[in-house]
Parts: sequence; C-alpha cells; structure tokens
Amino acid sequence: MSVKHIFLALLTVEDLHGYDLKQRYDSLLLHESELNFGQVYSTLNRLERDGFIALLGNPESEKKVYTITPLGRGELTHWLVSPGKESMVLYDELSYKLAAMDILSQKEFFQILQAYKKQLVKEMQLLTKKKLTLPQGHLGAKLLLDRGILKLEADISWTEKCLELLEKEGDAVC
Amino acid sequence: MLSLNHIEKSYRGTGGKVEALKGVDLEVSKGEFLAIMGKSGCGKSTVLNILGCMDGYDSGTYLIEEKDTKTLDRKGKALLRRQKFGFVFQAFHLLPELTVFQNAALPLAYKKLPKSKWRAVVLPLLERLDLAHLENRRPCELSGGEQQRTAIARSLANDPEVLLADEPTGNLDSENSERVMELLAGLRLAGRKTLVLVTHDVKIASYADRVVEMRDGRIV
Repeated sequence: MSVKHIFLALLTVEDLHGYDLKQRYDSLLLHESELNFGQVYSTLNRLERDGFIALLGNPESEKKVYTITPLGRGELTHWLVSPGKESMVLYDELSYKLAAMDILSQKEFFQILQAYKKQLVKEMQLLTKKKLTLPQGHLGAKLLLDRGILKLEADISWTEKCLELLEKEGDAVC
Repeated sequence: MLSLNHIEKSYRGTGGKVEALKGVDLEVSKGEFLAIMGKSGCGKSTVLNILGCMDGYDSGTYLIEEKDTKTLDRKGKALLRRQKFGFVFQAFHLLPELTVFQNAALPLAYKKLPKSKWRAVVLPLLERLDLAHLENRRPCELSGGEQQRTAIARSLANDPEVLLADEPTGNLDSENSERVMELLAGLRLAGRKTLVLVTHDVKIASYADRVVEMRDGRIV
C-alpha cells in the first residue's frame, strides 16, 4: 500500500504535521478504516530516513512539521508514472473459492454463488451510500468509489452469468 | 406499511397461461427505500403494479396499513392510488402540449385545486429538482434527464406517501441516471417518502436501503 506516496502528494500542497497528514489521508477514503497513528509515524520516519521529507524548524518541538524535499518530489513523480502491478489480476482469492465450490454439488454451488452475489450487492450499496454523502469537491475519492462500483458491477454480472449457466445446466439447482 | 402475502398472478398469453408471480411475500416499511431487482420478465413490474393498485392478483393478500385491498371497490382503489401513490415510469409520459410547470401541476388539476394555489405547490418542487428555470419549456425542448425530473415533480405534486418507480433511469445516460437517483435517494434520505423502485440495473438498485432480487416470479 502506497501510504508513503499519498503523504508525499499531500506534502506537495503544503507543509504538514503528522495529525494533519492522517486526517487528509483518511478523507480520501482509500481504506475502509482510518489509518492508525503507528502507521502514520513509522511512514514519516521512513520517508525522513530516505531523504524524501525533512523536518521544519526545531526537531525537539512537540509539533513536528514536515516538508517534501526535491528527492521526495522525484520519487513521487517516478511512482505516478510507473505502471502498477494490479492491472490484470485473474487469479485472486475468488479463483480458489471457485475451485472449492466446483468440488461441491451443483445445488450447493448455486446457493453459494447466490449468497456471494447478495454480498457483492451489499458492498455496492455501501459504496453508493459513501458516494452520496461525500462532501463536494472530493473528486479523487469520488473517482475511487466509482472505480469500486464498476469493479463490483463486473463481478455481479459475472456471478449472474454463472447462475444462469448453472440454471440451464439442469434441474439440480431448482 | 405495504404487505404482500403469497401473491400469485398469471396471464393468458398467446402460448397459454403465463405464471407471472409464483407466491411473492414482501413487506415495505414506512420511509424505506426498497429496490426490486431482476431481469426483464421476472415479474418485478407486476409486483410494482400490484403495490400501486394498478393491477389485480389471483390469490394471496395485499394489505396497505393492515387494510386488505380486496375489500376496496374500483372507486376506492382509484382514490387510494391518487392519494397515497406517486408513479414514475421509464417512458416519462409527459403531455407534449403542456409546459414543465403545467405537466408538474397535472395532479392538482385532477383534484380540482384552484389554479391560484398551483404555484405554491409546484414551484418548490421544480426548485428542488433544478427545473425552475425551465418551467415554461415544453417537453420537446428538454433533455431526457430534464423530462424525467419533470415527471418526478409531477409524481410528487400530490405529496404522496409512497413513490413507485419503474425503471426510472431506463431511458437516460449514465450521468443523468446518477442525477435522478441522487434526487430519489435524497427524498428518502430526507425521511419524507417511502420509495419502491424496480430495475434490472444493480448500480441503480444499490442506491436503495434494501435490495431484493426476483427470478422467475419469485423473490430469491
């Protein structure tokens, strides 16, 4: 997870201390739960160690304000333009579940897929609700939620296809 | 608030008897936003028509606030339909010769509210649906999204307790669909209406608090 790169991006806008970084990070809705402080400070320590950020003012002061260094800007740009590894994930956990389901009877397979579809619809409801309550101007978070919704839509229509196929396959499911 | 108990309904088609509903049980609570999702032909529109007293059923019971709808005659049903329900359809069914304002005010004309009182009812609705600036336009001068929003304004003019929507975004592009759904969800979020929507599109259904799916005349 690229928490460190989001921190670098936030620091290109203004110099911030740890608490501000955490709050702004959380408002981007990148995780279901909020970032914990332990992760915030360990990320900041690593970024400082690598020379991507620097402390402003007195290092002994209680409120440590960080600024991004030219090296940090270079790292951020490099990360942004590098292709990710997630583009074509075919063999995820679901692949293993499918293999397990296939070992069961068709009837069980059908019921499990139906329950799985319901779960996906619930997740989509959750993301849609988040989108509806998103404050104005959070374009990044909106686009992220849209992406999640589209991915779920694809999985739901795939599940629907499986169910139709199983229905056609025989009376076992009825 | 609305309670369907083991509702069955069949039609006589050219190929013989078609069982549209095979024992549907469904409870809709007051203030709830419910989506009924399913492919075309699964019976979801039939359920909506029965809920809105626009269609009958062969067996089972349908209670509205614990009153059995079987005890209502045609007149009673028509009155209930007018007072309790608002309808939004995929095809907007606007009258082409009337303006946005006049279309939205139609239910007020039907219940013979004096014209002098229309503005006070309709204008706030047009404002809420971002249509006030278009009040003098005719449907042919509007986009699909604006036409559907006009139809929603019309469905709300009577201040119905329950809004029934059948594929309300079926004729809209994704941007306008989102806008219409945000408005409909907003009605529910404001705790003002009970909303039942049928759709084949899971993205649209996901705006609801509760989603039920129909397959082959049954809720699964």
